[in-house]
Amino acid sequence: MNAIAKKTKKHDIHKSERRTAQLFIALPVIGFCVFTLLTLIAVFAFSLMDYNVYREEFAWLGFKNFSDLFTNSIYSTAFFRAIGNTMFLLLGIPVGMIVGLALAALLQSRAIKKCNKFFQVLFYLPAVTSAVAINLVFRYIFNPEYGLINNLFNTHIAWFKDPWLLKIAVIIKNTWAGMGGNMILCLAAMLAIPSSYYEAADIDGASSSRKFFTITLPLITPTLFYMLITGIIGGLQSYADAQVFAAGENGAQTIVYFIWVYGIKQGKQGLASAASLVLAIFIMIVTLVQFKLSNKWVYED
Amino acid sequence: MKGKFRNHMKKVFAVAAASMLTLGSFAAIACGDGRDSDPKKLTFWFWGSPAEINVYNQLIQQYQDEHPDVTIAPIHFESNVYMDKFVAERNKPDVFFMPDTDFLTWADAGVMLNLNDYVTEEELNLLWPEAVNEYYYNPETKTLGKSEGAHFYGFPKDLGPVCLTYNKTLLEQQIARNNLDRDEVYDLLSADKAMTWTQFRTLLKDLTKDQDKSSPAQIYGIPYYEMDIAMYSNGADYFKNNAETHGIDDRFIEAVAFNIQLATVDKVMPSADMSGGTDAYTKFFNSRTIFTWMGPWDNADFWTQVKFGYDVIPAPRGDHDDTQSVSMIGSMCYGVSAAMAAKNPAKAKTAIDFAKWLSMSETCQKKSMELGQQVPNLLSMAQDFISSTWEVEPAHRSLFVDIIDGNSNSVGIYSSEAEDKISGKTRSLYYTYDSTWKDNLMSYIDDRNLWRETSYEKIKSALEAYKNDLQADLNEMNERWKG
Repeated sequence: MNAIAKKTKKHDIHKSERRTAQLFIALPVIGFCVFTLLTLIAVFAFSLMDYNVYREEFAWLGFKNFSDLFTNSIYSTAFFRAIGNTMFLLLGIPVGMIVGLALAALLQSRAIKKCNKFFQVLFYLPAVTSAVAINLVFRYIFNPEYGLINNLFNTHIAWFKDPWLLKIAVIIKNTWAGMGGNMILCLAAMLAIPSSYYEAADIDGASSSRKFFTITLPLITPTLFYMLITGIIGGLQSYADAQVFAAGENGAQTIVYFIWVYGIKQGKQGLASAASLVLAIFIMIVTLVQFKLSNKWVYED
Repeated sequence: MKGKFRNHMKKVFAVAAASMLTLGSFAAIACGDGRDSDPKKLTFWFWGSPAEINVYNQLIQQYQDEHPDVTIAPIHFESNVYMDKFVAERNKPDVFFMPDTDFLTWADAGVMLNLNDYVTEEELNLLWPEAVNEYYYNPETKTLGKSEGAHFYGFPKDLGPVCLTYNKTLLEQQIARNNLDRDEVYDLLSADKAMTWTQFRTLLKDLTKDQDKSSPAQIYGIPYYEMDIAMYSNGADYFKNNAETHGIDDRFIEAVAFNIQLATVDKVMPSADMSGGTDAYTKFFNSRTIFTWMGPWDNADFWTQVKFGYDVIPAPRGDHDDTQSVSMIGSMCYGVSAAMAAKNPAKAKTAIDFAKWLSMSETCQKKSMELGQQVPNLLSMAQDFISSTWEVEPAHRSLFVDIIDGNSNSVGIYSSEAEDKISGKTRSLYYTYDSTWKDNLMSYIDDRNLWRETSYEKIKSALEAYKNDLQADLNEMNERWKG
């Protein structure tokens, strides 16, 4: 009798726990269904049609929007340009990671141990600064007429008109903007490494650089992997660089900027939806490839 | 174990589905059009500089004083996001700004109310015929302008003729610094007779002879050149036959080359490399350029911010004997929501009355004119605008009227000499369903680095190679528009 009562009570506890768990899970599931799944389905449906946003009319096109993106010169020139720009700008991700790592290593070094907190705050400041403000300030810094860089070096570099220089300027800006976040992640990963490893290395007489490359770097690779994955996903979705910083110049038009121009400005939502899907699939493939390759360089204890 | 997991997941999805349905029904209720059903409460969407917003707030206050039962909720956006907002929330505003560049698209979409039954011919005859004609569209035949069966979709807000304006103080300074003959310079700066491109280029080169052309801090002749104006004033256009055929010919190429070479050959205009630098107005306000473009709406800012005298001259014309100075006329209208009118005719009446007042009432037009907002819409007030007893700059503001009226002389006050007729034409985007063709053309010019090109032949061959692409863009646009 007692055992049955115990079992029922246990059963009730499980039931109520399950209900609580279900409620907790329900919220993100609803969010996912409403804002991701439904949107994805709608985007797929739009991509197969010519949706005239002005007249709110649909015309069935099949996969024409997809083929137009790659073969119709009216759109393909801009689409390939956007792909090229987006890919080039991704180079900023490893640069940002190296800078973040270097700053974290600097904070760990004895040289600035005394004012470590001050530098932590200083390096982290860009992470708490508004993205629009950063873009506008860097527009002043790179301004071809009165910009800080041109004035400092007495040069007349056309940062905004030259497509390559513009991309380099975007990478410099993004490296600065992302260094605080990258640094804090690297620092957290470094602090999690047991000090006994370093003590053992000290006993063996390992140099600082040896310790960094054989202990620190391998042990923080899971964090670096996380930074790389999120960085690439974010980089592929870059928009503000093209819109705010580059003010729509060809040299920095990204895939998301292309989607915005054709979806909103030109009212060609079918084409924009097709581009969105291509981007989503590309992000998935890149992420999967990264996961596949991760076992070759990411340390897992 | 698998069965249990499946049961759990079923429950999770059941909760999610129920919540989605609830959320969906809330959204359906909330989506409506969010419009106040009170026929005397209107939402008015517009944009403008701080000075223009101030003008509109005053006008709305005046309207509400005259019509105490009506309440207007003004909502303004930045000009560069206004149309994005409109795309997303087209049915929210009762009365709204509709720029000429987007008019065709939205009239064709049925978003703007057909006003044929709400305005009389007599009322429309009070306005500039050019302005009225611009806002007729026949959705059956897909033709712009007044014609049999065309609908009138918008009360003209204004006609915005664009002139060249110059900084008198800076001009005097550069004449002295470069030892130029003052009388010869002023002969060229006539409000009644346009310079040719060659005269204009020579003048700008002479006026900036003393400048270090490699320095970004130099004084420029002009901050940029309006491509539409260069086209129109050389007898060229981007397209022919109602945007059915591309317009790339010798005149077209000359216009593009003229624009490019002002920077690359004459160095009187900032080079493309200076893109992203100080904008044209800041350069003009800071006396870093002698000339710039201005429309009548700029007076509101010029009167308060400019610390030097200024006047206006017509846009220079191409060097061929048959060219005229044809400036660009920007324009806008007040549209009324067709969706609102279908649901609430009483409210539509209030909205039409308000839009009509903004467009046609003497009180409103006088106030707009005096606040430096526009050339009055009413023909009867054109004389007031150019009257010498109204002591405001620019002195030769009759040029604005000339540009509007150059081809029809509706009010009989046209001042230009007949053989050097000055006129205007609506912006190129007014005539087309979307702007892809122009965006692609400008991107092509950028991609081919033509903004840095000095050679006319290279510009010519690059543009000739683009003929088929421009034609393809126009075909695609027309297919989308006309089916």
